[in-house]
Amino acid sequence: MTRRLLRLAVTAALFVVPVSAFAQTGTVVDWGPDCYAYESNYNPATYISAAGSSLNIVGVVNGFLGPLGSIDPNGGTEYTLYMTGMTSAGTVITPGVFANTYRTVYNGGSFQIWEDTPRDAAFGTNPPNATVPSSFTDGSLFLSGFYTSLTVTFSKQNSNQQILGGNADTGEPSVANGVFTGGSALPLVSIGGRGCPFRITGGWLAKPGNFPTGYTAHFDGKIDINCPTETTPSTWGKIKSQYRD
Amino acid sequence: MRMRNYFVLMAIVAAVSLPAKVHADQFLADFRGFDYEDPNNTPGFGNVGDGYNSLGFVTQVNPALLTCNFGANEYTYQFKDLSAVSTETNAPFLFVLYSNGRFRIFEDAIGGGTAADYGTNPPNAVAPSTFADGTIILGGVVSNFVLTIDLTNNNGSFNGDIAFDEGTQQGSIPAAQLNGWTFAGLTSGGGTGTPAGYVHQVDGEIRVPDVTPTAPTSWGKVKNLYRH
Repeated sequence: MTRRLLRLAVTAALFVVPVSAFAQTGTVVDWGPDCYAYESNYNPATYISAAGSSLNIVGVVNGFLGPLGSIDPNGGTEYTLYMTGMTSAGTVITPGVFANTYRTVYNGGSFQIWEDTPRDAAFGTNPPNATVPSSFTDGSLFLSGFYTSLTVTFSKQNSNQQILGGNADTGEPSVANGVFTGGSALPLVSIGGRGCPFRITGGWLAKPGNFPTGYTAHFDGKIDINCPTETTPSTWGKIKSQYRD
Repeated sequence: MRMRNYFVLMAIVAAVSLPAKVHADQFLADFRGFDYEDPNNTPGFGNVGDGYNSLGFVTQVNPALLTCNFGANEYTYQFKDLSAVSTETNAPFLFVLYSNGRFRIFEDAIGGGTAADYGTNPPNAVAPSTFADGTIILGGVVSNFVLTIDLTNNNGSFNGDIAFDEGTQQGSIPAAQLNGWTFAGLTSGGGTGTPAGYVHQVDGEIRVPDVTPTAPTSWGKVKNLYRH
């Protein structure tokens, strides 16, 4: 009898463990052609961000997926992105034969997505300006969160001096690296009343001619969620009872 | 006379300087998907001889260049036939250079069509087939394709040129814009939702050169611009 119960308990534990693994992953927010970065001390001729430079990003969301998938960002209501509070640690160049690689870690940061009608976001030029970030931070707060850093990496091909598209990433999602913290959609990306971990990542384009005057890069990115399935405290007795006839 | 020479010189300098205006590129299509290697002759990613493939969804297009009805159709993309021909390690970065391949955008009816499905461990019964069905609305030869990977975290990016040469909407793109290019960020690890057997989450765009109108003129007319 004891052996049978032990077997049942072990079986039950095997069923419980996989359920507590990360269960909700993938993209929940996406943006594409309408998203640009600007910073306070960036040299567009050398592609170098000076240590201490402040990075900001404004954009227009073009897709909601997963738990946010029922919301249409391309209708009459506009959803705009504002990422701010990122401080450059300075660009580090890794020289190579094919290309030199430029990497900048921006420490700190938070994002906000604002819900607004009518659609009025305008990038203008030389931000901050009369419409940036103001036309991206009007309306009501839809979703917000913080992260610890954003790492931007891209290369310059040596044969033709062309800037190649790169990558931006806040890193592995974890409670320490960043979680959703606010906005009307927070319950949709929370578990047990706490915001889920996320990562912001995507393509980064510092190639001149691909962003308005005064901006420093184009960011085609998204927010990925990594949310554990909710668990409920229980007892071995309750688990065993589920396997009794 | 000396003054006149000065103005001519100014005109030449100005004429030479004007083209230095930053060349602008134009958005064509936004895509999001995953990548995998097939064939994958050598364990690990980006080895010479391995084939690079990417599948996913087209999420937005430039309506001035492509006509898409996202309410009625599913739009998918495919990169294929890219074979790694050489690599360069520049720690922590790996550059992988590829032979020419092909890029395509497909239109498939949501009602009556086949919903795209990644499945696992591609190629499989549903991928790439459910991404490469329907009508090819735009496609082209991919060249100068290079992939950059950070070996410490397996994240990276890709770049390549695309010469559009097929598709029902090829004709809607002006001839001067048929030589486009692509870039994407590649991310692996937590949160990306990468299906088993795929390597990176891919998020990027197709862009084309913007066409800036020019008007033929003469040196005399240019000089006149600088005369009182």
